[in-house]
Amino acid sequence: MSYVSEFIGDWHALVILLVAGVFPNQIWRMLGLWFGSGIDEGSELLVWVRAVATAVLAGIIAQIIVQPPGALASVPGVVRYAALAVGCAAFFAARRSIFAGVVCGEIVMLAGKWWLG
Amino acid sequence: MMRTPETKRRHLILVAHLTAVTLWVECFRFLPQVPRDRRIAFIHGLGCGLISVSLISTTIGYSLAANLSQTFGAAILMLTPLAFLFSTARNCRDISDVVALVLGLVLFPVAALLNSGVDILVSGVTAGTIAYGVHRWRARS
Repeated sequence: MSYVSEFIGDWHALVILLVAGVFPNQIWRMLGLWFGSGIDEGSELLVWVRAVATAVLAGIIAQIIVQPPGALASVPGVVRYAALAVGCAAFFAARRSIFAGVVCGEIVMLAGKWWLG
Repeated sequence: MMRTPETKRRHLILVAHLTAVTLWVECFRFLPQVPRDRRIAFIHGLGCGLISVSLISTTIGYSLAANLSQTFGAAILMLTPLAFLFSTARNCRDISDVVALVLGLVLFPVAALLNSGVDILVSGVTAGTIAYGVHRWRARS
């Protein structure tokens, strides 16, 4: 028992954390379910929604590169951009291989970090 | 892409919970090859598989995090943008997909200057709407 309570810690805090995490998430999923069922899947509205979703995802990618979180901030900006550029080049060179892009990007980042500190 | 005339809303509840970036992106690639009345089952399987992998990885990552070198930590953080970018780029079919992706990348640093707190939303809606405009323009000509 004491082992369990030690692991879980303050359960009040955990419940608050759970509610704070689940609630804002659930709102959007439920709203999506609600409104989504009334929309024709070939509709122009969904084409727009898909374009915005893609662009928002691109924004998240750009944010991680431009305003890096945590340990990534220790990597110089030049290295991060170079890793992205080389990754892109490898991605296209290998006929749109996700694996090639990710691996080459990582190699450049690690090499750059090792070189420039 | 999943609904059939017999689909009830409750059939989609679990799907709505499994939706995340990887699932969303990969579904555009996989679903056309899956018969329509099997797609919900397919997503349940794919989604649960992805969640299992991510839960296991999160647990491993959590226990490793404190002991990781800064370089290795940075390499792991770099995985997210690279994997998201290339998996999305791979599934671009129309020119409007490409425009949304590229403009979304380019406009974020501009939107970040506003420092509004919802920068990604600003750049995303702008880039997405322009991409949609390109789609409309091409559909007409």
